[in-house]
Amino acid sequence: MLDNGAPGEGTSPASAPPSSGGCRRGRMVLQERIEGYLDRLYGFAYALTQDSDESRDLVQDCAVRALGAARAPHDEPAYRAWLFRIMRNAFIDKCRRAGVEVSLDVEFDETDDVDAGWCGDGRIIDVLTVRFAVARLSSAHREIIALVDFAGLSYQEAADVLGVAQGTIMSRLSRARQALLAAMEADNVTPISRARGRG
Amino acid sequence: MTRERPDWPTLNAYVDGELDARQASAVAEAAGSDAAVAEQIACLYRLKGVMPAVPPAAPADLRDHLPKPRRRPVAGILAAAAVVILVVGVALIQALGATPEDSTRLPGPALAAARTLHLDWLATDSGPNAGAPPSLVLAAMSQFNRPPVIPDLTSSKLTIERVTVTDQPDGQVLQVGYRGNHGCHLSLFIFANGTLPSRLVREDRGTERAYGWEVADLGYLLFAVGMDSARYDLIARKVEEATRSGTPFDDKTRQALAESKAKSASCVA
Repeated sequence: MLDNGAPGEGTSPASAPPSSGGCRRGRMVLQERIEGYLDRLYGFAYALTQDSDESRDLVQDCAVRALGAARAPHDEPAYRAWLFRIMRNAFIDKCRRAGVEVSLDVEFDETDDVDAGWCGDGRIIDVLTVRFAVARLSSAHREIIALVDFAGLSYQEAADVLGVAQGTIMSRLSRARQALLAAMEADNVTPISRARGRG
Repeated sequence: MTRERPDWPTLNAYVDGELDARQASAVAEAAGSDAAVAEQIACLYRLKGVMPAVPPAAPADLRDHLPKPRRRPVAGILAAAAVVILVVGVALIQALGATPEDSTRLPGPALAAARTLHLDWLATDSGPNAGAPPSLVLAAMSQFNRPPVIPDLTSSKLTIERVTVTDQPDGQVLQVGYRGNHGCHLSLFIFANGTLPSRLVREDRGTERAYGWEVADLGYLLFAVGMDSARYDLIARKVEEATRSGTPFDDKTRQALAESKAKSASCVA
C-alpha cells in the first residue's frame, strides 16, 4: 500500500519558519546542513532500497528537493524530520513511477505477542548478524529501525517523518526489533568471539 | 506487593531514553529485582550499540555529486534575460560588421559578465547594510597581481556594499558594488586579464550604461542601470582618471561629484 497522505515535494511542517534560502548565503547554509546528514540519509536510503545505486540516487533526489524548497525549518530536530520525510516521499514517488508497490504503511500485526519481548541468546547480536537480519525484514520494519537506530531520530522526530503518533512509533519499533531479533535467532548464526590476546 | 513487569515496548523506550524520569526509575527498579528484565535490557543495549555500524557508509564521492544550490527564480530569469540580451547584442554587432576587437565597442564577453553579475546583485540585494569591511576589499584585491584602484565614491553618496571575485572564462573578475541611499547600484568590474579598449568607451543599451577602459594589464568596466546620465558620466571620467593616476580623488573632484549627485535625478532601476 502506498502512502497517499505523504507530504509532497519539498513540503515542510506548517509551523516551519521561512529559511534564508532566498539569498546565496542561505542556499549555501542549506547545502552544508544537508551534507551534515549525508551518512544518515544514505543509511536510511539503503534501508528503503537495499541497493547502493538506488540509495545514491535517492540521496541526490532528496538533496534536489530540499535545496529547491522555498522553506526549511530552522530548528534542528524539525529540520531533521523534514529532511527524512522528503527522502521518504522521494522513495514513494520513485516506486510509483516505476509501478512498484511499496509497503511502508502496512498495519503491523497486532496479534504478535509483543509483550513477551525476546528471550534469546544475546551473543548472536553482532554487526554482521544484524545486517543480514535487517535485509530480510519487511520494508516497514526496516524503515522504523533505520529512522531510530540508523539515523538517530527521536520517537517524536520519527513520528513527524511518518505522520503518526509518538505512541505508534514506540509500538512499531518494539515490534520491528522483536522481528529483527527473531530473524537473527532463526539464522542460527553465532558470531565467533574475538580473541583478546595471543597465546 | 507485586510490581508489574515492564512490557517490551517500555523496555525499548527505556533503552532509547524516551521515558520520563519516573517511568525510567520504575524500569530500573524492575531490572534490579527481575533477572529476565535485566537480560532483555542488556540485549537491547547490545543491539542498539551495534546499530550505527550496520548501514553502509555513504560513498566517499557522494558529497561531490550533490546538486548545487539553485539560484532564486528571479535571479535565474534575469540571468537568462542577460544571456538573451547578449546573444541579440552579439548578433547585432556582427550584423553591423563590428568585431569584438573593435576599439569603439566593449568586448561582448566582458560586458555580458558584467551585466549578469550586476543584475544578480540587483536581484539578491536586500537593502542597505553595514558595507563591505575593508578586510574583505583587501582580500579581494590580493587576488590580482597588480593592485587595482578602487575609488572612494562616498562624495557621490555611494558606498561599497558588495565585493566579490568570480572566475570567468578569460580569468578572474572583481566586482565592487557601490550602493546609494535610495536604491542606486553601480558596479565597478576589474578584469584580471584586460581585454578592454585602452581608451574610455561608453556603451548604452536602454537604461543600462557601461563604460570600459584598460590601465596596464587590468580592464575596468563601470556598469549601472537607470542612473542619471550626467552623474554617471562624471563618475566614470573621474574613476578612469583615478585608475590611471593611481591617486585618490582630490577635494575638487569630491566636490564636483557631490554637486553632481545633488543635481541628479533619482536612479530608476
